Amino acid sequence: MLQDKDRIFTNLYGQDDWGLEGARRRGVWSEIPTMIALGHEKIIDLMKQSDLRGRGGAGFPTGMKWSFMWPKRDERPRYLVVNADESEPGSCKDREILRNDPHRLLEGIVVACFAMGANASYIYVRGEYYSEASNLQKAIDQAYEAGLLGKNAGGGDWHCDIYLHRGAGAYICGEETALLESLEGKKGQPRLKPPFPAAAGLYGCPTTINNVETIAVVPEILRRGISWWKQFGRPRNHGTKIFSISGHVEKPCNVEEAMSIPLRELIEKHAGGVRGGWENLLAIIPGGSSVPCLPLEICGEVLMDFDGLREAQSGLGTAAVIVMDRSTDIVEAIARLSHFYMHESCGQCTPCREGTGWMYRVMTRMVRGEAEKREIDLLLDVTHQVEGHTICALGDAAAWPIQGLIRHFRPELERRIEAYRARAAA
Amino acid sequence: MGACCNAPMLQINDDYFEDLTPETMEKLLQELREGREVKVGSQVGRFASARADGPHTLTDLPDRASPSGILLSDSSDDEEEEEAPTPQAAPSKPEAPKPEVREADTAAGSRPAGLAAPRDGKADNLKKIKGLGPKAEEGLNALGVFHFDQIAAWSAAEVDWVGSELGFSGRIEREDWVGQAKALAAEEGKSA
Repeated sequence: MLQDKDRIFTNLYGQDDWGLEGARRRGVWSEIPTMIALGHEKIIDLMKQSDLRGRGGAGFPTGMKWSFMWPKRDERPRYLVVNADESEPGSCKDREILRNDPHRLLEGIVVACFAMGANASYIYVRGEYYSEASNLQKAIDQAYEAGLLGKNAGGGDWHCDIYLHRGAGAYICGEETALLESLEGKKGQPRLKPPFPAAAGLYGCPTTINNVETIAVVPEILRRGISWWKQFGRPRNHGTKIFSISGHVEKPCNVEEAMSIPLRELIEKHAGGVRGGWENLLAIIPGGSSVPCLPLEICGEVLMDFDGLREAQSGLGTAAVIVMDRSTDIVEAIARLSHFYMHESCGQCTPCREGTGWMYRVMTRMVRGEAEKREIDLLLDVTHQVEGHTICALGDAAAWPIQGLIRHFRPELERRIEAYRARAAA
Repeated sequence: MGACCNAPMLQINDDYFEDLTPETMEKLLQELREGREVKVGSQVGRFASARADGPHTLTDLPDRASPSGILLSDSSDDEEEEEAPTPQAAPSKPEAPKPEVREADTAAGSRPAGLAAPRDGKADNLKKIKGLGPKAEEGLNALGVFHFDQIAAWSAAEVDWVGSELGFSGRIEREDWVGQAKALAAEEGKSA
């Protein structure tokens, strides 16, 4: 188990003061000038060496993402946008950072802005997070007052301004380009890529969008060193990560753990185990609602990191572990997710707009068993027609849970169809 | 709603109500109907999203006062060595503290005058200064520093010296021990 001394988010549970004074006691805002003295290339190079991968779901290497921004290719202003629109069902990690340790995010923004040559940063906070946004704004005010933002941010030779923006409650605005549209005051519809945001992002200027947790861990990696960071997790999956464990476990909680921890160990050590014992487990969605679920057999083996879960045909996503025990109606659970994606589809691309609704309607019939067996394959076929044929990943996110269901629980679907037939015949 | 670990929950206006049960839910609605003050957040008194039986991690936090040391002393790491040429990087390892000696030291800055023993045999609780842990207190006592007013009277050079002597350069300024000590000394004076 990860030791407390190696945990980055030392105020995850909000037992300590979240303000500037408490943050400083926890070591936040220290040594920013030293980091800035390293220079742009050096910080980006260190991030590449650290193998830090984005914590927002896709797991893109952060150092590489930053290297698209620096060196400068022209004189346009450049921006860092922090994605705090945490809307993925199951995940609740960024909220804890925003309300309990906002200064850790702010110091990360200063370092990241410097590395990429950005002088302004926008934090896009989910609309529902009212008190979280209020804590964050207070933290920003405190930092300005203490001279940590604006001119000579963090005490180093760099100008960095931070602006907070509150969203209005659309799931799709967590998609990076839809987020930019929303930030510009337009309707939150994802943009067609390329051009990628690093070439033309916010207001047509080079922009990088990073998740809250990604940015917040950066200063601590630099402070403690790459070798410290790389002792956790397997190659290409290094570091620590906040896992949100919810659902049918004895003690649901958020916990920071080392990457590549076995899923079973994570649940039994930190969440008090599955309700009714491990054998009572039905399935686990390991990375937030949009990744395919895993049945009991796989859950006992799989390692919680990007590559381990990819091999298991799922994904780490935001590391939001949703546990479902045998009392769950798995078909209905997935149908509920389909409803969510139907509701949140922005309607821009036809496969997603029509497909999510179609999939939901078929899923509701599957719940009752009111279907033909061949429709299972038809449904699977349609998910593949939606997946990868839309501008953003919402289409994929709608398709994957159903694919996971059919992959692992096809007998359950067939059983329901047979049972329905038998009832109808009687 | 980003409170999955605290399910079931609901949001009323701007406030989250977490860890609800049918009974607490009814109670909550009743209280709202009657216009009474309601308990926001977890209804079972959890710390945010820690375990319901109390946080099981973050209970054994080290005195995280000195991250400064970690990065700069991590010389086993090639990547970090470039950070070395900062002023804090090379505190010439000072010799063991000798509490009774009062003459100025040759190390960076100047050594503040110390006492051989606390006045009236009773030292102040230096840990009241935020950022100052038990270990730092021990170190300060060894240097003959027992009272808030002693810290309050430090000059910048003396702050430097104590910082490098105890191995946490920059921290005293950053956490404003001197300012804090002044306030605490004044308080002490009042209550005395």
